Amino acid sequence: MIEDKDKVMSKNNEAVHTEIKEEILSKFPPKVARKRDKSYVINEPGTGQAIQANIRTVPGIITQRGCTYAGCKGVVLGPTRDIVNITHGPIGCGFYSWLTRRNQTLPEKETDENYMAYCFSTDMQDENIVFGGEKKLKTAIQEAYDLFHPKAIAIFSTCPVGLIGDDVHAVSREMKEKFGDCNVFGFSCEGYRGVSQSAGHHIANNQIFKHVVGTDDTIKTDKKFRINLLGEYNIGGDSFELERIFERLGVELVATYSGNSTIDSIANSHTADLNLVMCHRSINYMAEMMQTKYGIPWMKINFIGAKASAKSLRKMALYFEDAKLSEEVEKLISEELAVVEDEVAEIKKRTAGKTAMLFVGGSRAHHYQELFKELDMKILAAGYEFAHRDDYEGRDVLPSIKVDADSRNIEELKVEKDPDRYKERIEQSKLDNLKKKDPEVENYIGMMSEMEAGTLIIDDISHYESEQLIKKYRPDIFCAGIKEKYAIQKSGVPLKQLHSYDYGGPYAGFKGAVNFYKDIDRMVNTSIWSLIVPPWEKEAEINADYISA
Amino acid sequence: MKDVTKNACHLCAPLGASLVYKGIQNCVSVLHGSQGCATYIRRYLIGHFREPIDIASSSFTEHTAVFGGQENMIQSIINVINTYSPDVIGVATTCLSETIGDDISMILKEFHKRRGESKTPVILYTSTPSYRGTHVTGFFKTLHDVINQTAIQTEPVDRMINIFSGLFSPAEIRSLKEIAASFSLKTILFPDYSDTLDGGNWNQYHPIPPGGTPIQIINNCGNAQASIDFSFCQKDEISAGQSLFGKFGIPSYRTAYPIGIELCDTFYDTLATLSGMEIPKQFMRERERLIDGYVDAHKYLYGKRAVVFGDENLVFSVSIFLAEIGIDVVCAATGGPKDSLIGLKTKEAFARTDILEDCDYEDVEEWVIHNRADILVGSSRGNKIARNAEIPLIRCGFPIHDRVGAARQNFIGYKGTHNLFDQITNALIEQRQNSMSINYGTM
Repeated sequence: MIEDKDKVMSKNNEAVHTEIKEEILSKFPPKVARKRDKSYVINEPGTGQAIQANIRTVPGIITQRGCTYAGCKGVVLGPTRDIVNITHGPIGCGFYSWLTRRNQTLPEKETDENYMAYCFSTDMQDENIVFGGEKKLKTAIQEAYDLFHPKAIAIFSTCPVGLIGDDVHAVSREMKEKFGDCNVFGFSCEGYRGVSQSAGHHIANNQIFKHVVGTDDTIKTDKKFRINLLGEYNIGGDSFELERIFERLGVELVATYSGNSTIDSIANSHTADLNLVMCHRSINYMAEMMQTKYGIPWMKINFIGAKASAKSLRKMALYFEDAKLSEEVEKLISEELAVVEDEVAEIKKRTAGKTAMLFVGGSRAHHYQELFKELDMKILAAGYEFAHRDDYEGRDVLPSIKVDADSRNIEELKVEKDPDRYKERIEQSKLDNLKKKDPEVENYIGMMSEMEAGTLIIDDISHYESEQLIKKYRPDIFCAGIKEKYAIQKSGVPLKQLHSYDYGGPYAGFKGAVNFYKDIDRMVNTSIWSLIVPPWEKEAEINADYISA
Repeated sequence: MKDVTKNACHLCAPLGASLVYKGIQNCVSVLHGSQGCATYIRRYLIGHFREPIDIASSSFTEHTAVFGGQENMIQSIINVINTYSPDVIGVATTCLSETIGDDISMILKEFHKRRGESKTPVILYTSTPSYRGTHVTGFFKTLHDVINQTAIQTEPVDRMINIFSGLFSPAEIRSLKEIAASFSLKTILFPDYSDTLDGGNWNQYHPIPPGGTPIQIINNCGNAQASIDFSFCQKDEISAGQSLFGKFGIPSYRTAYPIGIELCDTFYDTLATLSGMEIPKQFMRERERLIDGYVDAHKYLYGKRAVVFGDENLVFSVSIFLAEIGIDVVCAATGGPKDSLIGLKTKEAFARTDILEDCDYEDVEEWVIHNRADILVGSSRGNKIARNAEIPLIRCGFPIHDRVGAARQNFIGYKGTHNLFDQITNALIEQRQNSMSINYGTM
């Protein structure tokens, strides 16, 4: 057993990692161990290593992953405040996805529609499973309509719905026609549809693209720079900080997908001139489809990390080729970074050299490395919960990913140029030129190329495996979600939740970066950790085994 | 049954099952269905208890949903055995596996056949589709099924009783055990998650948190002299005590959660009867102090209007306690099934109470908007109602996601009641103090 951190951090970490990996995997039956082995990579950037990702979770290994429904309802559409979201199914799924991701929203006026605090469910019972639930769903939609007269109602299917054959799409169409002034659309996002919540993201992208995007052509402002921010969900108020930044730059945020958003902004989002993509995993489908249909170019950016934020803003300015905007961007960056640098200089004294592991999400494990680097902390290991290979290895790998039965379940929309709405935003030669200069214009280079050689990368880590990592490496902080939090902390290692931010934040942009530095400082340096081992054990180093009575 | 439920006041049955399995020593639960069920339920339970909670899933895919979940279930069990070495595995079904008609007993038979002579943990199972009942009925059904599958009668043990717990906090379970021990009774308390869901920090790594009732002890339930069963508001068919009475003739005392003088008296009297002992002095002193507390604070409480909501068992007992201290329970609401509060309906003290069953938080909020209330008692999901109505919410029950200490809350027994009593009284005093134009230092 290796518990000497210096040893792990030494040059010979490949042998160390391999030894640890083999010890961990030896607990699994050979077939499972072989399968899990393919999800482990000891990073060697630039060598084209492949990692196994987005494949079925091994039953019975306690996964971090959620289901397709969670990805569709909870993640992508949860944050849009004026859609009435109805969960069609028994009560659990609706209840569990009720305001849990702490996506914030702030209507402009108090009287504006905001259904975020509501959790609507058809609460299916025995008789609905036996005789079908369509009738109940129709009345539920009617009831919601009569109550609020919302602009849109979305229906989310849970596991039994697909099995008993309820047609949520037909019901939605019928009700939409009946109302005339309310957009009703459904999602076949039953929990079992995909291998993780990722399938739900794709399903959500498709339906929003089909039913909402492009339904309102009016351009409401005369702002010169009009963009969408894709894959930003306003956890802990991240979108508010980004809205502040764009506002200062005079850049119009037509729509955010979907933090602090409204359905009208999404209906209008095809009129923007550039898509900035934050969470590649959950929203890349939308970026691609909007490019094909409406001609909107996209670029991968990252507003997590002060330096990453600065880089992202410069990238946007470069695209718009406007001297005034570039000047504004530089001015903003120098002002904001000055504040950030003062703060980080002080905190860095206490965080430098400490180590972190990140196992979360489909982008976050990558994005948050920026903030840790700014604190002079070292990343030991990272991995995603529901990402695909392109999120690890970069989009270049896309053509070589085999489409398996699980991916084939998810509809690929056939998208064509819109004869009326397609518009070239930038000359192709200029776009090609941008692509030459920046590998992340209409592309994502993935996490692995940006991580140091010798770091450990693990996809879809199980609960057992994370506990083993803690035992072997003892990082100074571990980033995951609430499901892992208390188990990891029992061993005296702080866990930062990066799904909900531990109900703190914002962490995006410049002000967010400072919040993050302070929170991490608090977590790794609190005096609490010194109390974990009692003084009498510190001296004697007694090692008692727990004997189950 | 209405067609759209807005902000449900109940959760789903497999959550209740998972909670019961946490009360068995060295046990891991496996939910048979889509992995979202395990993930969501872990998220909810962990948020409340702030402790590690491992729940495995058979991780259905579309293929499994079409062809059945047998292979996934068997693989799950094997992987759990290899990584956790549990003594017990608790299986619960979900709406997905129930809709496709997977038969767990058949799958387990196949598993044991394949497993042959290899050392295998005890595997328990229960059927908990989300479309039937709530997390509360799921809890009692699983408790019932575990006892039904494990209790054996060999040699009755003198002075031994069963306590079949309710949805109590870990602190309340500890308190129940202490109370029973003071009557010199040997007690099998099940499910006992007082340590598994409220543990200390670890100097040593534990794949499964220590604590819980050992399976051999649960087996012994059939040898008890009597059962105290807290499934008071539940149907007979999901009462563990009732099941043991039917099987072995062990008398069962269906008991309400002991909150307030009247309900505590019943509980302590039952223990006195079963033990043949007088109620120990320490409890009589606690009772005296509680009544003294009632007397001291009656002026803050008389005629105040309370709305109570949540799990039917808790709503029942809290309502009786509130009526006892002079508070008008103007609305008692539960997400539990129709007639689950029938016990309140028949009592004179609640003749003017609006009793809402199978209701959601929106029904409660509507009620509060149209009527007047001074205080709310229920889970932290009532926060929106309290904030809008600008009245205090005393958090009790499940879930409590916006305060620490849910695991340490103790509102049962004379002493526990006194905690609840002080919290309610102080919240009302604070409300009054803050609303006065002069800052009075004495209230």
